[in-house]
Amino acid sequence: MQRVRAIALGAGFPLALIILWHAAVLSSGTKLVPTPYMVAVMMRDFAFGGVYDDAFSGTILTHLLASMQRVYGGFFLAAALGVPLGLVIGKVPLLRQLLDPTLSLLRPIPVTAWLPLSMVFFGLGPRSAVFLVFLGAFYPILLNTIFGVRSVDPRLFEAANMLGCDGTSLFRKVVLPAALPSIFTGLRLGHGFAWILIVVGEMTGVPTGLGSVIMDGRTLSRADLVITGMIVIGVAGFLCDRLIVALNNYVLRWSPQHHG
Amino acid sequence: MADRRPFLHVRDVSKTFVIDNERIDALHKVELIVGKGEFVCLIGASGCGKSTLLRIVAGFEQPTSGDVRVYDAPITGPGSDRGMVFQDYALFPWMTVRQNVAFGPLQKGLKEAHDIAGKYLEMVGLTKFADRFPYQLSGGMKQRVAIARVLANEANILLMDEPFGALDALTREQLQDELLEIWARTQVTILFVTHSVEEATLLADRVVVMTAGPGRIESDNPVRLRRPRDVSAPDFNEVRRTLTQKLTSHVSRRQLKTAA
Repeated sequence: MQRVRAIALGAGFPLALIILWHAAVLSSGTKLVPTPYMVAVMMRDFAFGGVYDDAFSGTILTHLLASMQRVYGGFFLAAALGVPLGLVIGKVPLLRQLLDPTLSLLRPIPVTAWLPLSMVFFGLGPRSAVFLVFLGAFYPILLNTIFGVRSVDPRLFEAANMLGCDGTSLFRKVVLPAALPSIFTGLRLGHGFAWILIVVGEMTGVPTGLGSVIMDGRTLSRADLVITGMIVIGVAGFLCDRLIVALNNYVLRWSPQHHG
Repeated sequence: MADRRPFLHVRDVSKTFVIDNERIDALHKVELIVGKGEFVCLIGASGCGKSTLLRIVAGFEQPTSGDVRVYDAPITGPGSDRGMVFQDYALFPWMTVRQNVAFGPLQKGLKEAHDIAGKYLEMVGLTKFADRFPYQLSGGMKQRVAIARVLANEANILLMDEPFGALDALTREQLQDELLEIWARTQVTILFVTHSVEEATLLADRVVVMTAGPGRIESDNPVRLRRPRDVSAPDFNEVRRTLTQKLTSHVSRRQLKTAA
């Protein structure tokens, strides 16, 4: 009964929003915003084709895969750099003193502000998109990893020392696992930012990708296409987040309080 | 057994902390000899430096002057010969009970680490819980794991910092009995910090009373009660009363002094 109630509440609200949307479009008589039904038709065409048979028909997989490549290219790059860097910055005060002021200065700069420079460095194309996604995912991963390392109970280091564990093996056997809950928080945040930034990244003039579909929809004044792209990004981002949560819950099975 | 050198020798140890430009004399010229296989309790009001002394013996802190020696060899840092049992357990939460206990032997590269862990888990009665994570255990069970962990690491000096302070009365009594049994079986030397006079009287061969400001040893009292000890016996109460007087008389004298 509890479960039914939860599902009814969770699904009921978006359903109500869709009805409201439908009513609002009809009552205002606008031609700029499509009804939910028109978006559903567009979605069908985008996925399977057979309705409009234009450049976007049946291309969902092409665009989705292109975007995912950039999202995960940037995300894994950010994780591969952010986690190890965070571990050493968190544990080695000298490095912290060396790097912290620079990182603190660079962090508040919005990723979108990097767009022009990124186009200078990487040209117009997917590499620019990967770079922007990387920038967006990097800071949450780095900062949460640093935080995780710094908040490890010092007694655990003492316990490890007394059991004959120090130096590099301390990193692998104590620092990394103890910081894992925070690292996962960072990965999850960074992953969210990566999906958010893909539209910005694909504004840089790439021919494929969900971001480019949305930009094309804007240029062609096709709001149904824009909304379809938005929905695909939302659903894909949500499903991938569930995957990360499942991984998080498995890796952190020793700490139920950190389950998502 | 004819070794005439003192087993554990705390030689003229002083420790000064500087916190916010204020000097705190945690320990002042502390001299203590503990024989092999002896069970020594340190008691005293908070701030008397008993935990600091224990941490210096563990090698987690360095004395400001003086040193601690085991068979004339000065202690320079944490070592597997001395195993600390912390009040808050300091188990590795991401490891199962068995992995926690096997950690020390594995660090030494012993192939039979898991057999060693099994042996000590049996000694503390946790064989059935070997594959659980620490969060799935009660406080008493966690402390048993912590004891098994240092024993598996072949520590011959157990340093226990109010190990049963966070446990309920029943569990505490049970663990006290188990500790005495383990002590008799393994012949380890135990240095045990507590603020409970009853606990000290029950467990110790010698009770060392410490006082604060600066932390130093006030008196060293052999407990000549036969084991197993009965907390309700008249002679037990006699010893406890004497020790309580030594502890409180000094506390109240000091309070009078500071009040004056």
